[in-house]
Amino acid sequence: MNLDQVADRLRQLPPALPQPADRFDRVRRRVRRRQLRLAGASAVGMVAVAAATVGVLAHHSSGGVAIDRGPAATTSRLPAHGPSAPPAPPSPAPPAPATGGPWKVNAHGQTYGIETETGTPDLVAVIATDGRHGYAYATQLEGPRPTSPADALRQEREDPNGYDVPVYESDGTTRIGHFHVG
Amino acid sequence: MTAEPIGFREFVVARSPALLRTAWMLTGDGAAAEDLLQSALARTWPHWARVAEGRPEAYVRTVMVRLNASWRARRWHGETPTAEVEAGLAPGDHQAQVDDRVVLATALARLPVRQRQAVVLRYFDDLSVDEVARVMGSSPGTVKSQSAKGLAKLRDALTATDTLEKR
Repeated sequence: MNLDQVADRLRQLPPALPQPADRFDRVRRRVRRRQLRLAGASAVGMVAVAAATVGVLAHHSSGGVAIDRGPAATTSRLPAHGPSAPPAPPSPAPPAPATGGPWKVNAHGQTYGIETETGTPDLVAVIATDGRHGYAYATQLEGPRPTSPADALRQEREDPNGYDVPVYESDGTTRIGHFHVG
Repeated sequence: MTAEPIGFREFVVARSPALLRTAWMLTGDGAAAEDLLQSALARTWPHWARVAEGRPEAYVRTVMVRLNASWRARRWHGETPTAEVEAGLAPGDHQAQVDDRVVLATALARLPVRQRQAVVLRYFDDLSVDEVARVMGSSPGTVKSQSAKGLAKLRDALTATDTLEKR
């Protein structure tokens, strides 16, 4: 068998492949998920820039870095870097309504920031359809939770192209745009 | 959310079947091929205005090749079956009538990722050596050697099967 014959057989190798009719919509959903992740990364970058330009950095006893914005502002903590960081002391049980864990807390007690592996804030960082950075309520991003497979199919039929959710400033009330889920 | 780029939907509809076949040749699996194609298209979307002025299909193919390489580097490839089954086959054994396509697909899957990419782009997509070099980000000389080695391994696999069937 010569190499040309091998190449000929190679061209006949792929089986008949199904072409999903909604491929474009699937691609669009992937683009949105990517933008959501990029919005999260951007939010992290903004925290770092804010720390460098506005805040006063101080090494915190827990091994993290605190951004001191004055007595009235909330304090955001960044993770410690490097092996020389002192070990974190045992932390007291966090008072649930007063702390946002890794996220900041707005005046209404709602956490806001990016989704992490450990959880989701009340307001998730997103990029609105007009490109503005803001936050959407996690409950609205998730949409109504289906109660059964039949209910999931019904929701899919009712909203085949997804749905819009409002985008707010970090206060959770000042609306600045909308984000499309779907 | 960025608005839908002009002409992108038409491109997806028109060129996806061909691109999906290339994706299948790179992955050897229908679901993985669809995943690879959709990922490449999603990464092309934000750059469409620039990409559309040039050669969008080449751009998507390049993204697929690079994604495929990084996915291959991260994934476990499963157990590699040995070639010792040949010893257990008697002449004329019905099981010896092995489908060439299965043999070829298996041999293709066993090629190192760069050889596989070179073979697929050069001999399946019929790209020139220079085009393959651009897509793979390597030199034309490397493309020639990788595609030649890969094709020779496929030929060896097919020849071995032919020999087995003639016994």
